[in-house]
Amino acid sequence: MRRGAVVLAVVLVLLHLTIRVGFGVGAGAPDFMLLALLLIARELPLAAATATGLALGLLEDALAVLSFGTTGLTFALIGAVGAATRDVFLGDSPWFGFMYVFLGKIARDVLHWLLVGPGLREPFVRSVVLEGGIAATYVAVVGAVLFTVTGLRWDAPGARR
Amino acid sequence: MAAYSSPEPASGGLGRQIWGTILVLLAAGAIFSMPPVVQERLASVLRNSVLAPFIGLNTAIIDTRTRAVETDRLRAVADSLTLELQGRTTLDEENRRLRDLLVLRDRLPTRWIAAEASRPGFQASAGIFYLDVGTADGIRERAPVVTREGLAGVVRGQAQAGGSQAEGMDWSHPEFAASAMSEDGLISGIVESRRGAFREQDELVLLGTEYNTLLDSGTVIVTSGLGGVFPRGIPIGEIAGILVESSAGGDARTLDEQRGFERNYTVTPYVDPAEMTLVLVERADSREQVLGTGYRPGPSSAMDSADDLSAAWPPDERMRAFERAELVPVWRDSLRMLRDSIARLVGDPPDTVPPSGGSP
Repeated sequence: MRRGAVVLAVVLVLLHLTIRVGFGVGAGAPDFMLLALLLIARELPLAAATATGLALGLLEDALAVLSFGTTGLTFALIGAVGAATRDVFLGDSPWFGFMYVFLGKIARDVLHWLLVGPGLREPFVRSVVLEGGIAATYVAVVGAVLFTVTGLRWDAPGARR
Repeated sequence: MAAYSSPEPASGGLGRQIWGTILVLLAAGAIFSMPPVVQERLASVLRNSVLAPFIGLNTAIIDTRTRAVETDRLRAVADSLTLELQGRTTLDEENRRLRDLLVLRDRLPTRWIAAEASRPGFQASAGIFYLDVGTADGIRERAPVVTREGLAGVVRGQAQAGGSQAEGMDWSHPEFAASAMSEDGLISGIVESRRGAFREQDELVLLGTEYNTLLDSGTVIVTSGLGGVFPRGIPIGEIAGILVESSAGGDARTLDEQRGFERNYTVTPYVDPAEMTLVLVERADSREQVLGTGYRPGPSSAMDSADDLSAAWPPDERMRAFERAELVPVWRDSLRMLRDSIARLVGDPPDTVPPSGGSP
């Protein structure tokens, strides 16, 4: 586990809470929480990544009026899958980083849409395909820029076996 | 820190990871399926612990925005109030003049009646005004015209054939003159109008006072009652200084130097002709008749015979109209203070001067 990745993940979580919760900026800010989870998931063991996802998801759920636990379960699944990708993808390509975050965001929106109650769902095409696609591209670009700037790579040393 | 690598399946570590993941996912599912009351309790714990700083920051930002909006709203209210008050300035001014007139009316004998003064508005009629009362109301020629501030002018004659209007001249008219004296009655003379380079520079001069006595600046000059035109005790103005005039040779000499026996002064009048809109004018009393009309006054009161009117203008009320007006709008000062408070709240410098003290 790289210390720089852990520090960056903590910073991303704090950034997410500061911008989205503290400053009240909504979708204008990228989903730094998911970015942090996707980053740390490739650094932690499978169970730990899942637990981290659950913890981060519950933080988001605590701010939602309804559907508590939805994001927790969603993030736990993403954390588990993210950790599993370490043994499947080497992650030494920039395109992997982009697609990893992009698909992670899409998966987050789809899972959330499925888990949330029918009464709270918004139209799938609008919320997942259109808005979710834009948001996924947004956070993937931000992630690519962030990792280029910080010098971190998606291929954790432990994954290169 | 050692890098993580996935455990080998044969080591048994993978099995622990999988079971651990399953347990975490089951826990997530259990939380997801909890009753809403329990979920809300758990969410409340998180909000009051980990998320408290961020929620506090959000609350502070919202409060700041709300205050900004409230400040804007208050400023809008203050601006609209100011606008409304500015629109009421004319009404307020007229109200003040009417109030002054009522006060003076109660202090003067009953033969003094209220009138509205209007000006012709062309240059040749400078110093002339018309009253909406005339000989039909008992107004005689050379009747004094006064305001709350003091002597304003005198009636010159009839303005309309029907006797419903009278023509008067204020103190700035070249023909205006009044016998005057210092308030203590020791020094007397004649007050005349003296034209300035501009109408705003018109002034009164007190002529013919004794050379051996000297009046200080600020000495109040009132009518002396001599000559039978103006009753005694009507304030005219205050001594501004000794009158200095240039001779033909260009050297500055006082008039008394030119004449050798008199000391003359410039007088700052109490009444501003431009503000003279509501006045009191003296009606003919029982000893007089209005010539050319059938007017016959009724029996006069005991005060009608009094010739000294100084009691109508107490010493502490001798001031110009604008000085009195500054004492009236205390409520306007309050509004000004409100505007200043709002300006300070948003960091702008106050755009008004501090309110002056005093009361009407």
